[in-house]
Amino acid sequence: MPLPDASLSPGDDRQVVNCIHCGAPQQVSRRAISINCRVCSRQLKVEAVIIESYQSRRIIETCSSVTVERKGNVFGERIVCGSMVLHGRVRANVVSRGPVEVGPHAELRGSIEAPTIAIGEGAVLEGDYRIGVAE
Amino acid sequence: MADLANQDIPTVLGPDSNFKGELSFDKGVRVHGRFEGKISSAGRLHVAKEARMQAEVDAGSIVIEGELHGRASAVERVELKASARYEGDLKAPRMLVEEGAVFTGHVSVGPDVVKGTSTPVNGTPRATATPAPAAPAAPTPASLTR
Repeated sequence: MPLPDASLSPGDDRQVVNCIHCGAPQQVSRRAISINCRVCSRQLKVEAVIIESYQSRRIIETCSSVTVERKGNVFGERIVCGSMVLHGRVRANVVSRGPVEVGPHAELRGSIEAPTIAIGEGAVLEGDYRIGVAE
Repeated sequence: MADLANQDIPTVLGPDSNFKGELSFDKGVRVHGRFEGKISSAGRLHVAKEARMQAEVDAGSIVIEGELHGRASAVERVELKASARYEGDLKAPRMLVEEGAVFTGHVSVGPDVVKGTSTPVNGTPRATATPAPAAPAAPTPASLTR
């Protein structure tokens, strides 16, 4: 039977998130909803955003992931996130610090800035892309 | 084994080639060297890792492992491998991007994207717009009708 990792205490519920403004990594509780960045002091949302219906929101910002489900439809100006999973429709400019996954029936209209992107067959994309370009 | 691979892509521009101009082919071409110009084909274009291209490409499918600057349009799909560096506008019904690929430019991807373009694979402009109404005939001078 393998021994448990000494660096992790039992029931450790911490996660590492990167600030969407300065990029600094920091450990936060998985139950945290928002924190202040220890480097740039700006307020950060760290909860995952899941969209399952039509939403018209000017800005969506989170250090965690944004998931747009199949029936989700986002109409906005800007989405800044840690990562993104898209199965529905988005009309907004997306800046992601992590990977963007576009499902096979998804539709994404707007510019995208992300380190990597995965695109399912049948997805509809339209916009200016910056993929894998170091800042 | 090599023969089987060559059947898929029978034309190869080697690593020491430097091509400027227009290139057309039927089955496929693999570019290893430098290319500047235009490519139009219904076949497959493979931009190898060491290739440097500045081109306008209309092809059946495009696989990019090297560097491509310009406009690319594929009837089937565009694949950007991990080593790909692409800058320009891209149109294709399907697109595959591997982790590590670097890519900037305008993207139009979707099942109906290439069908709707005015420039098909063979490069001949397709008439999509309704023809402009003919200009009204100029009044004939009375001296000529006599």
